[in-house]
Amino acid sequence: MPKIPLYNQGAGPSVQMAAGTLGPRAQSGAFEAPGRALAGFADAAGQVAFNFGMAEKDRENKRIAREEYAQAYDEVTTWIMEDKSTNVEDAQTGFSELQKSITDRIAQKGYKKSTQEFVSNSLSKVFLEGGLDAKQQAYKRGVSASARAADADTLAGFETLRKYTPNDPRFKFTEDLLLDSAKSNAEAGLPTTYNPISIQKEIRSIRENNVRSNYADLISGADSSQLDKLESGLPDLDLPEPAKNVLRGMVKTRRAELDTELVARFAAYIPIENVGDTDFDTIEALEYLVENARGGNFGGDTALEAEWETLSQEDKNKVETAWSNRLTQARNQVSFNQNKKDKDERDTNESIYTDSKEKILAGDLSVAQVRNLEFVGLDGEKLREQLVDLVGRRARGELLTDSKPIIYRETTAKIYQDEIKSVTQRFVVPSDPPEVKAANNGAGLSIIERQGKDFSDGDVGEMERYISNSVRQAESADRAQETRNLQLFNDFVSGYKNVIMGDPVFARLNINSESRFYDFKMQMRERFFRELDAGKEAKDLLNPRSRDFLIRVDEEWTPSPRLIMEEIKASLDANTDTPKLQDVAPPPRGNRGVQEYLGSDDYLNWATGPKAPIYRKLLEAQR
Amino acid sequence: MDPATAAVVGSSVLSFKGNMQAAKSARRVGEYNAQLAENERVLLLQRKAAEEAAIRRNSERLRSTQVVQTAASGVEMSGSPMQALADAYFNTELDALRIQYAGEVEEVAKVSEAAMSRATGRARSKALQTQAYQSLLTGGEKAATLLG
Repeated sequence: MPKIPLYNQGAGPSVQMAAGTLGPRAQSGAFEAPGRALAGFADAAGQVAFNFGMAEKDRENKRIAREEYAQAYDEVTTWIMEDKSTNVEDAQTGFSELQKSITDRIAQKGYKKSTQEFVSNSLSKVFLEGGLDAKQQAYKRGVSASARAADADTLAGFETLRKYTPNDPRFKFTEDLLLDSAKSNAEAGLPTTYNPISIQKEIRSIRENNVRSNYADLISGADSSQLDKLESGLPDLDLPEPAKNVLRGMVKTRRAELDTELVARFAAYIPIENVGDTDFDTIEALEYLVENARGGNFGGDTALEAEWETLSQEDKNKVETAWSNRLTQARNQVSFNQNKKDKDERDTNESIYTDSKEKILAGDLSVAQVRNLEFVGLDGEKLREQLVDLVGRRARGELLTDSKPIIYRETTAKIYQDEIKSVTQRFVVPSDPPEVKAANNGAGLSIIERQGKDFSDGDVGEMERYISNSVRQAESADRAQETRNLQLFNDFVSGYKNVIMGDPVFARLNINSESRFYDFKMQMRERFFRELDAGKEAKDLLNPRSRDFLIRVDEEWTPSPRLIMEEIKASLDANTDTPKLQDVAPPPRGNRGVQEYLGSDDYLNWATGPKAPIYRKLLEAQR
Repeated sequence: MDPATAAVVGSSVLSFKGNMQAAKSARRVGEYNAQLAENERVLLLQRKAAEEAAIRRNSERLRSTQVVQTAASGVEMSGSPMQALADAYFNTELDALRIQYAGEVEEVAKVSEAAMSRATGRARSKALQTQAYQSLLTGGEKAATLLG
């Protein structure tokens, strides 16, 4: 029998009914992530906003705190500086009021509570420090004020002590008071200037000073007998030895004063105040008084006569010395008056002479007019007579353009050696001819009497100038300076004498040597005064190393031996060879104006150089 | 701007860009997984169709055998043989339906997986974007604090 197969062997459908998950489960984390992230973002944003807000608030709080701190600090420090409290309690009270006023002021500004607390916290430091500082300052002030008061009391005590003698009971009372006070001050720790030791030292000093000053007062008012007693009592004084020595010195001084008073009384008997003023107040009259007084005759002054009799020989010797000194003073006074009179005469005569000299030289004054000039004194009369003589000589045509070189040189030497002190003083020089040496009974001739004979007017003027300045150089710095300049110039010229005159052996044989030297001096003198007037210094003008040296580098003043020999030869030869006029002529004027030409360097160098004098002589010879 | 502030700003910008990049990647990963699931759904449908065809082919072969055996036995196709044949037929249909049902169930799962993958990717992307903005915000706060 066939077997028919069954579907799934008869077990029914072979496929199971599908079941299970219809898809993966959703993971909540993945889908929560955006929300969480958003929440995180929101949190972060909120935190940021919060942080910004807090930072803003913090910054604002700090700003306010800084401003309030600065203002409070200023108020506190100002208050501390201006506070005058001298105790801690007052300082504490005052500072608390200040602190309250500051706190109230801040509270009234309406800050938020947190801001107010922040500001208050920031101000706590300044309040604490300020309060402490204020109390410290008050304490210091209090201590310092107490010390000052104590010092003032001490000084007042010293002044009180100085009023009393050491034996006065009040001295001892004040001394005890001062020492007790010093002790209590030291115990209180006050920084006083004085301590017990220094106060004791000062009291000792005051005590000694009081004793010393009392004794000194007694000495200063004592007479001779009292002085003896005071001197004998000195060793018993409660004073150190140096102080006693001072008092001994005062005793000696007082004795000297007493002696001086004695001497002064007798010296005053010889009156010297008016001596020389009248014909009766003479030295001889004073000497007569002294002679009589020496014999006890005081012209009726019985008191002096009686006292003179009581004087010891030692005192009389002192009085004699005083009289001698008085006589010396009288003589000095007379001498001074005479010198003053001489000076006045000299000034008057010089003034008249200066005013009239130019007119006389020009021939504008007659002899009669000169005789009527108001010269004074003996020197005035000499001037008058010699000027009358000069007028006569000038009328006779006695006139020199150049001085006689040798006489001029010898006279100048006498002037600079102070042998000639006046233009009227008569003198002789070695080169004078016999008649001059014999003139005026051998006294010779004065500078004025030689004017026109031996000296040119210009040279006489220079001599006058030097003599006047030399005699009166003590009267002004300008005169002294000019005298000094002229002396320097004379030394300079004298030093160049041999250089200008040439070899001395030949110079004696050369008749041109002296005139060459004279010319040199004249030229140099003109340059010298011109440069001085231009403001240059004499020492520079006369210093060969200076740029302003008088002698130019291209000038040949020194004659060669050959030239000297030729001059000697020419002087022995009748046909003297003189230089040609054009060789010594001034530089050409060219297109320059007259003033420009006369002021030019080349003309001035020629005019003050060696050629100009030769040129003038040749020119005169041609006329 | 001082170096510290510049570093803070730079790190903040880098963090922002990193998070944005991560957000983009998360969205792409979700899309990739979704497409994988959709491809798997297609393969699953093909496999279920093949299973159904195999079931039907085997059932055809069985029913042919049943007819041949019945005929060989000289029995008319009625009664039990007919019952067996009908049973085979209906059971085959039932299995085929079950296979189709299972296929639909698994298809739904794959579709759901794809949708889930896309949704997860978007969600992660969104979270990462938010984190990027947060990092930018935090960096800005730090920079502002430093600038002061």
